[in-house]
Amino acid sequence: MTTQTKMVGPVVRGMDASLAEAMITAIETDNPDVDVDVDDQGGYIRITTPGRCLLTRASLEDALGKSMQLHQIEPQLAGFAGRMLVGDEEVVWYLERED
Amino acid sequence: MPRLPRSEWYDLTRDMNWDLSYITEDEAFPPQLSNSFGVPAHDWWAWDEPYKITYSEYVHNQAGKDAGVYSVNNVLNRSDIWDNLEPGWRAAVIAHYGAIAVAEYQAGIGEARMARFGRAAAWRNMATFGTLDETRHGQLQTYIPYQALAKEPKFDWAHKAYHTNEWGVIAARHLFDDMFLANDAVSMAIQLTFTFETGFTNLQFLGMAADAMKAGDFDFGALISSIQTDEARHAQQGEPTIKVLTKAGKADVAQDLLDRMFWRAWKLFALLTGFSMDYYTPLENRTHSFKEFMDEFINKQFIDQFRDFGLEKPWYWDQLLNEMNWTHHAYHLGVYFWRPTVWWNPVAGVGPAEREWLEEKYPGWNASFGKYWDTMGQNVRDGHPELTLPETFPVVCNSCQLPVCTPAGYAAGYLESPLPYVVEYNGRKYTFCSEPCKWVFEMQPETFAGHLSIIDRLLSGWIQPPDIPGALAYMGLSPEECGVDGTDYDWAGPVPPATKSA
Repeated sequence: MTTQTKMVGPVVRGMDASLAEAMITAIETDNPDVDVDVDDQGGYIRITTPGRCLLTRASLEDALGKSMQLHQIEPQLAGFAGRMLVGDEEVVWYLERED
Repeated sequence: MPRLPRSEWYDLTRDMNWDLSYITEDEAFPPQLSNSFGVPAHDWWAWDEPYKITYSEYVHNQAGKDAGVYSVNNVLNRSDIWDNLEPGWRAAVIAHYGAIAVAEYQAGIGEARMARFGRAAAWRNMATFGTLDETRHGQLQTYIPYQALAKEPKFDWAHKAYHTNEWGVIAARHLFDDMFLANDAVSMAIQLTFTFETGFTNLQFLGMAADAMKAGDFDFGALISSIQTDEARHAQQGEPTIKVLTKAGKADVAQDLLDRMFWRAWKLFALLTGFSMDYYTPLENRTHSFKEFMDEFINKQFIDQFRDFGLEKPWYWDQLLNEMNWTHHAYHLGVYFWRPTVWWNPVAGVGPAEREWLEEKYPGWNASFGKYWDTMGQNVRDGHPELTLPETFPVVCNSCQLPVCTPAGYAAGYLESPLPYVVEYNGRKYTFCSEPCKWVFEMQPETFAGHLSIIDRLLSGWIQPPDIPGALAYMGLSPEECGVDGTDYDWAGPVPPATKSA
């Protein structure tokens, strides 16, 4: 099997434009050294980075301009690439296997 | 008032595990309902969900989700959006509700089994949310078509379908009984929540949501993508279950459960999502082909996930890649030809522009599948639409319960033989559409051997009279309910007026 960079990150519903935009902005802030890929299909928006994708509550609140608990993204989180780990202050999407 | 971070109290409130003393483990967790696969009771307590949520957070989120879906529905229900949608899109939506709505309630029964027989408190907690999720999905997907009945009588099948012996429903029931209604909690965590929900539901609930927004069906797009946000959470019961099995040296058990259900799920989605995306969705609204969605959600996203747990691609991977080129084209052709046997009005979806698109997405389509449509189109233009309708029955696979399409796969150059696969078991001959379907049966012949396919029922005398009208009646389809060409043969070009329905 060829090794290629696996992209990970959230797949967001296209129903809440402000949250989707804020998540894109926050993920760009939280993953400064990589290109954030945004694939907008209308009904869903795939936001991914190579290998590991971090989203912090602080960046999301900054981008959104209001306070928010991370679990409140769920109504717009329709899926994700990679595995997902949810903490109090951050969410990480990641994959460990390299081949 | 300062609040403790959730992580500092979450495990304490969740982990109500205890040692049994009054009864045995098998009495509390009968293997038929919860197969431990030999993993000791305490090892299951390491089960830890990656996607954590508390009850109060759950209720808050779900109330918001429902408010969103119902408010969109409330606004749009007063509009004429439904009447203005293309016939193909309407067919896709009507097919969806019949195939999915009541199955959601059944999935709720499956989740409830895990909420009781899951082998760790954390798991039972997640499955309790899953039970509520699936109940919500059943309610939404029966309510929304129900309140639109005045506009579309065929929405009756959202509730009716699973109470009939319509052939597609027999296939869906055969699959879902295996996957959750008759499955044990541990197998279900891998087969329902991981294989089916982490993998395949994305195709129908997100892929179709993208198409819905482009087709202007915001009601349906909001609904199915909202449902998928529940799935994304409760599907996470798979990962910790695989981890516990793998740590106990039982990765082969997880791999086997995945392999068996992955193929079965593929067949159902090749039918339902295949024709919905590549033929029913109006050309200008298509975001991707079915094969491209499979590549995105299954061949990349899902494969990456399960390989990360140490599992590997199923042994029949090459067959899957092969079938992705042709199987759903054959299914669509069959559904169109046998259209009186379905509860929606299939569209052909093969006008000149559509054929160009199909040829681009599936090189060789015109020279293979296109030829059948050439003949049907000619028959319609010659004033003989009856020649595009069935007088006999197809052969049905004794595993997936869908028509055996090996001759079409052979004619299109994808198979080496047009013959089906055959197995003799306890003096009976069983027929299969593919090597993996035969393998699924052979892994558990005692489970499947007693089931009669729709064709077995015809040959056994269950269906009387044993002809097309008798079969339609057996399938619960009154003459008014039987599917007809959704565009009144517009796809075939200029046709004699007598061909058109009144």
